[in-house]
Amino acid sequence: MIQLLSLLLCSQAWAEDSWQLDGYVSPAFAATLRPNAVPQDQFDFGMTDSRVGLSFHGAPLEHWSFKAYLLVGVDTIQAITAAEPVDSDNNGSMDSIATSTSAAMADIVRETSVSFEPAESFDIRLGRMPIPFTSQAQSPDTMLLFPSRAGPNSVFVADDDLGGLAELNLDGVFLGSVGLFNGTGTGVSSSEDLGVLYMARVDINPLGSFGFDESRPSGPFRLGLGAGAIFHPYTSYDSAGYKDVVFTDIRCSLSLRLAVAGLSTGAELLRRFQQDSLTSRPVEATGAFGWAGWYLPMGLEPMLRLGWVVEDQSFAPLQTRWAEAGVNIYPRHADETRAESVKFTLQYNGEYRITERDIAHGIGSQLQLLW
Amino acid sequence: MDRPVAAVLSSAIVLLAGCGGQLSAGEWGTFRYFGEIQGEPPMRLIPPASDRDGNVYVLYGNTERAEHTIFVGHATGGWSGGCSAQRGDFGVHGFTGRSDNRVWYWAGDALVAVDGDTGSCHELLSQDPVTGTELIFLGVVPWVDDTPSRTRLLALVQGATDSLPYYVVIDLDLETYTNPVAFVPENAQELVVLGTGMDEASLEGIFVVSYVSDGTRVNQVHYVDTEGELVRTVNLDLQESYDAYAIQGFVQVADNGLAAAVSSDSSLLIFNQQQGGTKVVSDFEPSGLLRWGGEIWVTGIQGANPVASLLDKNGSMGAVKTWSTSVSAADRLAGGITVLDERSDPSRQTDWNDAQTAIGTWPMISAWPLDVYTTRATAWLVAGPGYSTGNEDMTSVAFAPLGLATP
Repeated sequence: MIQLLSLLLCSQAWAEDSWQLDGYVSPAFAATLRPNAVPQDQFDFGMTDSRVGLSFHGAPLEHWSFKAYLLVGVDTIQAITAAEPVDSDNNGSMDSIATSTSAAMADIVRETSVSFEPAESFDIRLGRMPIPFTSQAQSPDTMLLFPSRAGPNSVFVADDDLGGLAELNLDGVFLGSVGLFNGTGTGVSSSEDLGVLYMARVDINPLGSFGFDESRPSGPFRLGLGAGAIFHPYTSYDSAGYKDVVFTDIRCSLSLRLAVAGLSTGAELLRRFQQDSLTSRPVEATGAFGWAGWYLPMGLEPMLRLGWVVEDQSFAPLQTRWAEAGVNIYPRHADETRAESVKFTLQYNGEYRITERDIAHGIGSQLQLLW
Repeated sequence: MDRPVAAVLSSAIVLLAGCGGQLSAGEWGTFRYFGEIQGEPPMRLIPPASDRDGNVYVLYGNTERAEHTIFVGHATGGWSGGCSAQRGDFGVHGFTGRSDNRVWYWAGDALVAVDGDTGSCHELLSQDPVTGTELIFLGVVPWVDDTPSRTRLLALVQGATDSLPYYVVIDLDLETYTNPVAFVPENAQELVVLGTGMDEASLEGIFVVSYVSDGTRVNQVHYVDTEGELVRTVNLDLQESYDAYAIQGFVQVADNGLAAAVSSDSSLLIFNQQQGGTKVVSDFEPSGLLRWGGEIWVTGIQGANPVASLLDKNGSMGAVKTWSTSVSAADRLAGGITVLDERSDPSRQTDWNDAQTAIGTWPMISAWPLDVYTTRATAWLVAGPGYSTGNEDMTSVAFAPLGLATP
């Protein structure tokens, strides 16, 4: 993919104004303390969440545009590079398998989409993209208040997905979208399951256009109300290829956002309910999170975010809470138009698993350089 | 109204209302026919278990026979079966806990892990990792501390060459033990474990032990914290001498700290963190316990009906009530049922004209803890048609969720 983009960039056949390349580099340091873990895992630190974003987008034809957004380094997996049977007692039978692993890059494609915009207020987008189910899922990665999205958000929306989205934008006051996706981005269905994921989202900004950027708000008082829903019926098939279990997965979200005089705040309520034709055991989860950040003229932005989720409510509720606090520092704050081009973040991240009596404390720092 | 539209509307309602989709009291879910096993009702089975992912586990065996088999019903359909890891002369003690996609059970001298995704099972720590000595699991607490940091449980283990056992913390991921604490008193002889349990309110494992010290038999409850340290001993006033593993299933503990157990001779043992002993029950013969919603009910048969009586924090029994949920569940079997035959793919539906509870004489009457399948349902086993093979009858058995309400 990177080679393809390089070739396209080098091609003289493209008009210079038909595409744009931008991105960011974000080295990050994180340290996490887990007092209840085994000694080896109690303290973990390193440049664990460093990443590079590369966005290539443009409008080569009238009404048509494209976007390719690659994210490298944020998602590595431990790939098995060698496996060897072990007969520890020399009795001729295998007792265990010794493996060697190495970090490997996972899926780096965050978005690859083509948009058709027949009218100024309406477009149809096809390809791989984040499912805009929550307000935070629509925030650009570089304009989040904290370096990553809230814990509850990731519980209800796991990843990007392949599909199509029809989007309506009436002067930024009313935004609506409906979409169809494969359903692999919700984190529940495997590749053996089949079913279309239906998504709808409405955002109303009665006081005028209100973007989804969480940090450094400017302009007059803004209010945003939103609601999203996902309906995902899917079927799993047995080894003989016959219909086995039919699932119905429904999720919904409600959001409220406010911004005025550098202050940005918001909250989201999330709910999930899934049932199937076999087990008589519904899967229920409820979560919420809220955040607030205040951008000060000297280029400082103190921030706070709290989250709460109860999973497995119908059989063994698991309650988790998150508390995050920190400050964003904008060294180039004097440049009003590009202040966010350099952002340094210091934060505390606490995860409190109430039911499991487990806790993790983390501190982190991140430098974000946009270009 | 079209079925898809109705499904969407009903799901939307329960999504917003925060409840729904659960079985009502005495209502059966899908009967999942998983196999034909030896015996006829009441069969050598204990109440099934489930994990967080929705896989279900059926343990075929009882306390008397030193053999067992584990069957695993997968959350997305289909079964795996036939795994066993028996060691020792005693039979099945019971399930000891669950995580996302695993359960563990204690059978004979062995602690066994079962994978819900594959249906495979294997014994843990059959030998000491350092010395190679055979390890005997004398007692395993029925509670798995499953957290992102570690997954562990408490056990009382004895090396084949040791004179006394040790309380240990078993790391179920690393499959090793830590924090060995020697059993006290050091002069204990003829030690037997009567049963185990877990006080989830105080996070203390319970070992009911009997031993001879200075020529006198002592019956005690040992409370052990999550690090394996002995924190409390409680003397028991028992009316008779019990054999090893006389407690059927496990000791069950209410949120108020009162613990109860049913012995193999149908006597009732109750205790708290200060005292305890045998309790005489005259109104009916105790044959089971129900721990639900933090309370404990003593269950049994009175005449021909299933009954239950609530234990209060002082160990006094409330009024004996007919357990209508058990009656209702049995009645719904009597008229015949349609089961989903999952013995091989593809699954298909078939009718059983004759169905009854496979465990005990009434549904949900058991000394073994009932699985919290949902907050309003447990899991149970149903016996269907059978046939004779000459040695022992074979009976078709199905798993099913069952809506539960206390009497």
